[in-house]
Amino acid sequence: MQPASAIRNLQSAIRDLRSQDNPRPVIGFLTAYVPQELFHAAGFDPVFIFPTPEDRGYARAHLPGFTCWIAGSAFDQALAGDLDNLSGMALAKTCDTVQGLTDLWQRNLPHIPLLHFGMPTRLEGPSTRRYLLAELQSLRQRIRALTGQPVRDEALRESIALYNRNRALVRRIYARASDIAPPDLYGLVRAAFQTPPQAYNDHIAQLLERPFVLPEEERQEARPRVVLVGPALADPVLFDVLAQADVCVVGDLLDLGERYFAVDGAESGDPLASLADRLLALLPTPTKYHPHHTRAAHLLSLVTERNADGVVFARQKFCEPHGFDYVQQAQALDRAGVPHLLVELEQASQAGQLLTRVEAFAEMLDDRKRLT
Amino acid sequence: MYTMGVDVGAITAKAAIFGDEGLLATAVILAGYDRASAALRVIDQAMKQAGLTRERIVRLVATGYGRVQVPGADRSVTEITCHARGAHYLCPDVRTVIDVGGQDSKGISVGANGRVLDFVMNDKCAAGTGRFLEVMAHALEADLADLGRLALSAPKRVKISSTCTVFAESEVVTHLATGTPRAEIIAGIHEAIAARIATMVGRISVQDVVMLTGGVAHNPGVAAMLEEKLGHPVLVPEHAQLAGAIGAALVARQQP
Repeated sequence: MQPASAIRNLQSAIRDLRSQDNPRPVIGFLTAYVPQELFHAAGFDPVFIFPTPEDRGYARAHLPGFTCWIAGSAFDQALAGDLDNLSGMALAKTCDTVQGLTDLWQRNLPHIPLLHFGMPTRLEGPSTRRYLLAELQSLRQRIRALTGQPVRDEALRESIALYNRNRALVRRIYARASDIAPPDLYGLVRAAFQTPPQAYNDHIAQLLERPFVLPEEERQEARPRVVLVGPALADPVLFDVLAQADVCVVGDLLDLGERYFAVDGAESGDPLASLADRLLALLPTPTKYHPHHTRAAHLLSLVTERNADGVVFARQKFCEPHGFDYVQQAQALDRAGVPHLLVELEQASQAGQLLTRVEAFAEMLDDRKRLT
Repeated sequence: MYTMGVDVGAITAKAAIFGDEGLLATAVILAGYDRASAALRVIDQAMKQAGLTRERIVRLVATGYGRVQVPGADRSVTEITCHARGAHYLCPDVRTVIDVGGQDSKGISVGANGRVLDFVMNDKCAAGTGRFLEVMAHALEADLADLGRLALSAPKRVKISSTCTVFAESEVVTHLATGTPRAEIIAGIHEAIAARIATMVGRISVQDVVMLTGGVAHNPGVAAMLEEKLGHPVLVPEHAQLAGAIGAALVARQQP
């Protein structure tokens, strides 16, 4: 079996898995800082609430027009009743939109309890770790109030180990990114946020046991190699367009991409401290600051390390933090002579113009490769 | 060896045929709603002009908005790459190409070899495109082909503050209601579209020679006001509208 068809089989298996009755209650979550392990240890399966192309208009009555699709769609789905089977919704307060969403959620959706905590903006400072530990402790207490059961240290250590295995497997997928078509690659990554971790781990482990050597005609060495930067994995149209343009994604700086899976939690010692230390060690998203881990420097090293030909910034419309971050990163790439393309994604993006942009960028990178 | 480039845009379909001795034939027709049929008609017209049959065309490269709908194309290449190649053929010293078509506009930074170094493209808004001029010509009951001449004949211009096509049309109606001469409104419209395009093109490095391509290049008012806004002379070659098709035919020659 070829890898692409093996991956499609896996995705279909994961879809089947999701549609089955899950004995564990489900917690929805948004943002790239929610500690899934804490909810898993409490008996839940955490599932990221990805946006959908449907807009029923419920959220529009509450949110300003400049709200990003990711937050807006989650709220719309909840108001429409699509998320009524959730046992709760988890949010880490990151950007202004999510901050505002916490109030709206509590006021309008009392039947879906909101479990949120403050993720510090500065990831290295004298009180950062202490503050985050206090926030996580408070979150742990609120989970206890919801379930009536304490989240025991041993259960939390087991969940950390399970998610470490999950992250290690996703890292192995990324190590083979250049051999996987972008829709398949991101289908697998998205599935990691939507599938019970043990089931995901079992399926992925089976997939990775197979040899991953592509036949000559399917190898992607000659294709333009890009690093993808952006907020989430919201719009699958982008991945289809990248595949159509024959572009190979060799790495990413997506909030829910490689950076999310890059760091494991310690499996011994205080498990809450392990969660806090992991969150603080992740490469910051644009809403966070770390004096030594800058996104521009990381992006440049990623480009060099993966031998990328260029960078595609996939900005979600109205995501201001990524908009501000783009300028600094684009300047760093310009100084290093790395070509880059900015595309803006909306709710249910149209592929036509997006394809022209991405194809033209791929042609430009291809020309550069031929000349050098 | 004969190669052909076919550029199917939002408004027109263009074709160019190259032989070993250079550009042999060109054709331009209105595209209509059926892109595949328009492509076949423009191919036929260009071949008749060159006195060739389809079998003698070694390779055909399609470009433009309808590039995937060109029957029998060996390959499709974006209009951005093709306009850069075509512009370089028309003037080897070109370094910036501004392509303004019926539905979109692009700024392309071109290397000494005709390769794309960087590019920008309008978003979904039609304000910086030929469509903007079409809507305005309709609102002012003016002939689209005569719009540029009228703009340049005006002694002064009114300010069209909004470059959104829909809002600009209502501004035009307001100016007409206050008795502003039509030519002054038309001049204001040209200034607005030029400002819009210049702002977009300013995101890439604008260097001489600057060339205007695409259907809107036929409008002398846009070219003149672009010169004013950019602070660079703007070259409009004879085959400006055909730059994409010419570039596609040249890409077809380079293809292994």
